[in-house]
Amino acid sequence: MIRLLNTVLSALVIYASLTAPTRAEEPAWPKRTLTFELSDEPQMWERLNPEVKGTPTHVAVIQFEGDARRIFRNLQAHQYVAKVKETEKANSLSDQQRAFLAVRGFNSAHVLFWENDRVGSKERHRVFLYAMSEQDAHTMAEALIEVLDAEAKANLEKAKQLLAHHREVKAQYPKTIAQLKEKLTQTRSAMKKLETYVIYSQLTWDAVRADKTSLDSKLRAIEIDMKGVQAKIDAIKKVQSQPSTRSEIARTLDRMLIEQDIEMAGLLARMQATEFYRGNAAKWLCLWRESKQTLNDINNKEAVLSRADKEVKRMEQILANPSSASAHGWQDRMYPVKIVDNKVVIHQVQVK
Amino acid sequence: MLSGAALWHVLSKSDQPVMHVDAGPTLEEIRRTIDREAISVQLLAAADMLAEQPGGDTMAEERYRYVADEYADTEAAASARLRLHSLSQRRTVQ
Repeated sequence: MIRLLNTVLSALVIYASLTAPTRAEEPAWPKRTLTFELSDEPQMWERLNPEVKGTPTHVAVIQFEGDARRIFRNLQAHQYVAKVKETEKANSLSDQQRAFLAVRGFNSAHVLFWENDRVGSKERHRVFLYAMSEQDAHTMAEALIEVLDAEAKANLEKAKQLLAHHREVKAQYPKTIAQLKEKLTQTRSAMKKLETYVIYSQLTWDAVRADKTSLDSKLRAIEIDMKGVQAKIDAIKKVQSQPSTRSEIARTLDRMLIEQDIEMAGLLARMQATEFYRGNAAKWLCLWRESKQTLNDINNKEAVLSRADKEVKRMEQILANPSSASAHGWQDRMYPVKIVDNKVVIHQVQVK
Repeated sequence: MLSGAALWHVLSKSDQPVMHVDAGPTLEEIRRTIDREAISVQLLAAADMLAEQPGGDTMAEERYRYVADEYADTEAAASARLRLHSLSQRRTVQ
C-alpha cells in the first residue's frame, strides 16, 4: 500500500533555456510537477560489492515510459551515477550518500539499476536509486530526472543548431553558386580566346600538356642554337679585330657576320613564337584546372543545397513535434523523459 | 623533341682541331675555328641542361669532360673545366 507523502514535495520546473529566440513552430519546454510517495513495501538490496561503504536505507523507484534507447542513450549505470554527481542537487546529498556513490565496482549496480516492463503495448522501465536516507533517495531521483531532461534539452539545442545551419546554407548557397557559375563562364571564355591561337593537336588536358612539353624542348633547342650563333659572332669579331687580317678574308668575315646576324634574328623570331604558344598552353592548362575545380565546387554546393532543402523541411517537422522525431529518422530524444503518473515512489530497503 | 643527349650526338660530330701555320690562318682555317667555337658552346649549353635535370650530373660530367678534352683550345673548354671542378666539389661535400 502506498500512502501519499505529500501532494507535491517538489516541482521541477524546467524551461527551455535556448540561446536563440524560440520559433513559433517549436513547442515550449513543458512544466513538470512530480509527486513523491512513500511505500511501506520494502525493496531488497544485496551487497554484491564488499567495497561499498554503508548500507542503503531507502530506494527511490521511478517508472519511465518509452523506448529505453532514447531514455538512457545506451549509457551504463555508472555513467549516469557520474552525471548525477555533477548536478547542483548532488551538493545537498549527505556525506554517507557521497561515499556510497564513490564506489564504482559492479557497474554501480549497488546505487542504480533498471529493469524493463511492458504494460500492454507500452514499454516501461523501472529505475531503482538506492540511498542512505529518505532525503537522499528523494534528491537522487530529482537529480537523475534533471540529468535526463538536460540530455534532451542538449539534443534539442543540437537539432536547432542543425536547422539554423541548413537554413543558412539555403539562404547563402544560391548566391555562391551563381557567383561560381559566372566565374566558370568567364574561365571558359578565356579558354576559348586562347584556343584561337593554339597549335595544339587536341583540346584535351593530356594533349595540350604533351604539346607544352614539346614546346619546352623546342625552346631549349633554340636556346642552344642561339648560343652557337652568338659564339660564331664573337669568334668572327675576334678575328676581325686582328690588324693583320687580309682584305679578302675581312670581306668574307663581314659576309659571315651578316649571315650570323640574320640567323640570330630568325632564331629570335622562332623563340618568341614558341614562347607565345608555350605561354598560351600553360595558361590554357591553368584555366582548364580552374574550370574543373569550379565545376566541382558548383556540383558539390548544389548537392549540399539540395540536401539542406530537404533537411530544413525534415528538421522543421521534427522540431514542431519532437516526440515523433523517430518517424523522421531522428533518434535523439528531444522531449522531457516521460515518468508514469509523474510519480516517484520511495521504499525502505531490506538487505538480502 | 630534341633532348640534350640527342643534341649532343649531333653537335659532337665536329671537325678535328685546326692546324695553324706560320703564314697566318687561311679562310678555311678561320671558318673551322669559328665553327669549333660555336659547336663547343652548344655542347656546353646542352651539358648544362643535362646537369639541371634530376640525376643528370653523371651524364653532364661526361659531356663537360668531352668539351674540355676535344675542344681544349676554345673558351667553352675553360668553362667546362670549371663546371667539372664544381661538380667534383659538390660530390665531396655530399
